[in-house]
Amino acid sequence: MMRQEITSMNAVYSNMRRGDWARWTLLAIGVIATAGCFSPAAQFELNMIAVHKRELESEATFSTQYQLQPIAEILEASFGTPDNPVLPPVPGIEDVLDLEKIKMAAGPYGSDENGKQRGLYRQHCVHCHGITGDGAGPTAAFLNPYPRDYRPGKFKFKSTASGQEPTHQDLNRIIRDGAAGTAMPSFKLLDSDEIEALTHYVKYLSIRGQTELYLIEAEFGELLPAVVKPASERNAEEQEYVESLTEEELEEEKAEFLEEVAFFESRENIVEEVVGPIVEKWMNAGDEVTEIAEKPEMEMKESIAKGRELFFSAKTGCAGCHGESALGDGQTAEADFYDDWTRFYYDPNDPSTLEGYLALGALEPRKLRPRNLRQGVFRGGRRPIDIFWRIRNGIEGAKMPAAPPIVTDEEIWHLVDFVRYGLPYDALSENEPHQPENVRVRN
Amino acid sequence: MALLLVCTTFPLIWVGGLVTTKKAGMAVPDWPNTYGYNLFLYPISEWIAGPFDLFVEHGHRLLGSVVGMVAIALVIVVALCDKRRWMLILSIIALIAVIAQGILGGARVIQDEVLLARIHGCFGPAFFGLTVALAVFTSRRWGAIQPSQVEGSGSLQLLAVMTASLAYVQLLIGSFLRHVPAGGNHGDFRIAVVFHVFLAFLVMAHVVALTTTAWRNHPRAIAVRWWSLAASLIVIVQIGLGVAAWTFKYGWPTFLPGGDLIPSFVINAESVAQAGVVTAHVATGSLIVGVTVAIALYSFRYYSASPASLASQIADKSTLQGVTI
Repeated sequence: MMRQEITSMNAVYSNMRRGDWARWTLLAIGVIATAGCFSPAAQFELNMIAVHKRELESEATFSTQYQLQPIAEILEASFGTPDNPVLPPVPGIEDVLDLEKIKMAAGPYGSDENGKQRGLYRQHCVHCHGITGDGAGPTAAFLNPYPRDYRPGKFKFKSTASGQEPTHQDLNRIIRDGAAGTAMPSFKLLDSDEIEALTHYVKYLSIRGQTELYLIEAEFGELLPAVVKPASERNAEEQEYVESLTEEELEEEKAEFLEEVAFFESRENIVEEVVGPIVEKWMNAGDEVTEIAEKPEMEMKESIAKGRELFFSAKTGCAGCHGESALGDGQTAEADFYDDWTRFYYDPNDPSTLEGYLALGALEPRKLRPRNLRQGVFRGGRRPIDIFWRIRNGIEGAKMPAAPPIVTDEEIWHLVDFVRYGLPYDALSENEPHQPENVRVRN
Repeated sequence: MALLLVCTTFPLIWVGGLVTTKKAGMAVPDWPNTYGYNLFLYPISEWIAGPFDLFVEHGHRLLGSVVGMVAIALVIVVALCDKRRWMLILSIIALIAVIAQGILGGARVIQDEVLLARIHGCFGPAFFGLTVALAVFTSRRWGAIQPSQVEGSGSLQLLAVMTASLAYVQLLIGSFLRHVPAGGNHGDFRIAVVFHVFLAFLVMAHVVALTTTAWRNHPRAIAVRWWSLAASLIVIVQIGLGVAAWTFKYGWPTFLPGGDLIPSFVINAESVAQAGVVTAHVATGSLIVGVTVAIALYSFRYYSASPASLASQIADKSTLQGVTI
């Protein structure tokens, strides 16, 4: 009897254990399936760093309902989502952006039976440049220099002057050739239509980012939402302002506010005031390429000598940053030697606001280093014409200024020769940390 | 047969690594079929002459099914030739594991889900560790070892288990660096990199300690001694491969000195060198897990934990004769 009981208990126990196993297995499959089903689709996040900056400037917080939400909706209606991009109905936009190519670069990656690739941006770029092209992708913090943030529409290595958009060819070239000495790879092993697709996608993200910035800084960010906010959402200044208004003034301001929001949301505003002018600049970039006088016929030795003289002259001021030795160790230890992308959120004279930006995902500010010219490495390309453009136009966003107009094209050609052939090639040289000349002399 | 399983699984891990490196996971959008064809009936000409990502992905599936068949054969051979019941159970577990791994790989394709790809990628090395265990259990050496008791054997065993565990944890963290989520933030990635580098040195320290302990105090544990020496060399190679993999992908690591030595280096995306080095780093990670699992098992074989188990193993020795499969 006793033995029977034990046997049946064992059977029950072993059944239960079998049941447990089955349950655990089902649970594990369930968890995996759930994780699979509910994995969020990629989406464009709002540029909260720009929003935060605007909030600090206006001492008011954005209203979710009347500012953040409409901006997000306008952007989605105009540009779609990372998986399904669309283009805003701006006349002539097809000359700048090819939707077919953009779709080839957008979405999750994969390929068809013929090897035609899709999702190229997520396959090759997103881990550094991020979904929105903010240059703060997962790997960004470890890269030096940081990956480019496309959203302000500023690019360093281009054939146009600072303040102008780059040409399609400029972006295509940097994708194809990469940037030596940085994490930006060369994609020359990709098919040319894949490089084309990526170029269009970078332009698409840029135009989208510029639109977003304009909406945040110049339109919705200019509004004072205190009058439409519930009292609980107002800060002290906003509350004080609202209390200073009469009932009538409040209603009037409310109506005005809502009217402005309605206008900002209108197709007329978006096409004519916001996206239209941005697209136009991209459209005209090809006409803005800096023209270059032909290189003068001259003995190389003589040209280098002239270039050397210019390099150390006050007329060009090259040695001020690149140093007397051209190792990049000039007098550049100023506090604000940061690029424009960093200076957008970081003021070296007032670092108190930095924490707030870092919490929103901004990258730690990192000081610029003038190029060590003796390494013979030019990130924007080492063709004579590339170096000419760098000297003539400067490097947008970085501290390299455009050559003053009094420096002639001929003189720039001499500088190009000096930089390319007149310096001792010294691949192993290391530029010293920036410190004032007198300190180095004293030591 | 178990050795054959190890020898087919290791290339499978290489090819699997290559699938992720070349982002070929979705090169074939259906599963278990390949573009509507049964896996084994997909025209060879289209497979060989097709795009490289399709070649790699379909090849991974075919090799995976070969491993599955070897696992079935192993169960049969163990059932017929090996009298150890736990060995049969272990070989069946291996078969179930390889089937589960196949389904996981299929689910990754059907759901187009990177998380599943990561789980699939992490389960692979665990399965490889299991195949190594099967090979160790069925080896001649395993049968020939006379377990004994030596003072200090416990610390060797603990060290061996710790090393194998750390090697696997290191691999899990590595998967975070490899399957970078598109929308991930740089803070999380930074933590993963710091941990990966820290653990690399921790694994290195453990392997060196293991080798030193084995060579200093355990002259009898020949397998532990030589395998730990091999593990030390592999770990050194692996650290070099890690630095190389980062350099080929993102340039010389900014946290290491010496970047100025290669200022003109241009990363070549999708190059053979990039794919080779990155995949080699992944596969060597699995190799370290496999070798350290073997060391851990041998450390327990040489030195049984208690006299009671020693007695039972001696009693059981008769059943171990001629079980090398």
